[in-house]
Amino acid sequence: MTTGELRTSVIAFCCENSALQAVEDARHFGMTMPECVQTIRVPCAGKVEEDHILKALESGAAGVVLFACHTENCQYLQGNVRAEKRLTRLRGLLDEIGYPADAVLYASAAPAEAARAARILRTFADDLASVDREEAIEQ
Amino acid sequence: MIVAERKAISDILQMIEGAGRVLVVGCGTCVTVCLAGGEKEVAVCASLLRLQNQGEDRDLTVAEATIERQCEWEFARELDELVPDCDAIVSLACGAGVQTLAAQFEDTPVFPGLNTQFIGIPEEQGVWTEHCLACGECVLDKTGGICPIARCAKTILNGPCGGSQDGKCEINPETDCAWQLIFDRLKRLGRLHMLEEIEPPKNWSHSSDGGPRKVKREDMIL
Repeated sequence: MTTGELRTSVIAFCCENSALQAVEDARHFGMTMPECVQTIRVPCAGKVEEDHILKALESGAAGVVLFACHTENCQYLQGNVRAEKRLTRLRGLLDEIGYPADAVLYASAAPAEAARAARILRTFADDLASVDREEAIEQ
Repeated sequence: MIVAERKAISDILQMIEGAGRVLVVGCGTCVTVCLAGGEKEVAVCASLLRLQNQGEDRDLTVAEATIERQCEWEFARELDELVPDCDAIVSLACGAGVQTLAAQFEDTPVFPGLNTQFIGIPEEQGVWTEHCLACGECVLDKTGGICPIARCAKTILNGPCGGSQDGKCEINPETDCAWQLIFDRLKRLGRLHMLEEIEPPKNWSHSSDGGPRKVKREDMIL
C-alpha cells in the first residue's frame, strides 16, 4: 500500500475480544461500511501505545480508531480504561503540535454489536472526509 | 531514579529550528522507567516532530536511537556513527545525559528534550515523588529512613514545624508531613528516643552550595 492510498484511509485497532468481531460481522452481513477502513487485530485495546497510533498517522492514515470493549467488559480488566486515557493524552499531544486531534477516536463495541461498530466507523470516516485534512494540518 | 518530564514539543521545535536532520536520543535507564525518555518516548517525540513538520515547507528528517545510559561514555560512543549525519541532537535524558552527549559530540548541538525534576521513586503507577536531594551528607539513619531534606517543605532537621496538620504539610494538603512520617516510623521501630537529640545545623557545603561536586575513588583511577 502506498502513502497516497493510506491518506484516505482509517486504521482501526480492534480488540480481538470485542470490536474485531463486530467489525468483521458488519462486513460479513453487508452492513454499510466505509471502504477505507483497515482493521488491525490487537489482543487488547490497552496494548496499543501512542507510538503505534502516531506511526499510523505518519504513514498517511487520515484517522485512527482505537476500538475497545465496553466499560467494565475488558477481559484484562483495565485495558479499555487505559486505552481511553492513553488516547486522551495522545489528543493533547496532537493539539500541542497543531495536528487535528479529532483524527483519533476512542470507541467501544461488544462482539455482537456489528451495527454499532459500522455506524461508528461510518460517522468517523464521514467526519474525516468532511474536513480537508491537509488544510487542517497546515493550519 | 532520576525523574524527568518531556518538554513541550513547541520548545523542542524552537531549539531545533534550522536543523534539517535531527537525532532524538533516548536513555534506557532512569528516564525509561519514569516514562519520559525511553525507546517508546523517543518514538513518540520523533513522530510528533515529523507530523508537525508535515504542514511545513521545511525538509526535516528525524532519526531515533536509544542507548543504555546516556551518562556513560561507553554507551554514548555507540552514537558515533549516527551523529555525523545529523545537524542537531535532542536528548531525552536527564541533564547528565545531555551534557555527556554534548561533551562527546563537540561539533553537534545537543538540546534537552526533558526537564529533569528530581531523584525519586514511583509512588504508584504513573506517579513519582521526590525522595532525595543529593545533599551529600545523608541523615536517613537518624530519621527512620525518611528524608526531611527532600520531603519536608522547609527542609528542617528538628521537626515537625507548626504547620503540620493531621499528618499533612501546610504547603500542600496532599503532601504528607515528612516529620509526621518520621515520628510514626521511629515509634514503630521503638526508637522515638532518637528525636530527643537536637540535630545541629546542616553543613550545606557538602551539597551544591559548595560548588560542583566530585567523587573520587583513588583505587579505581587508572
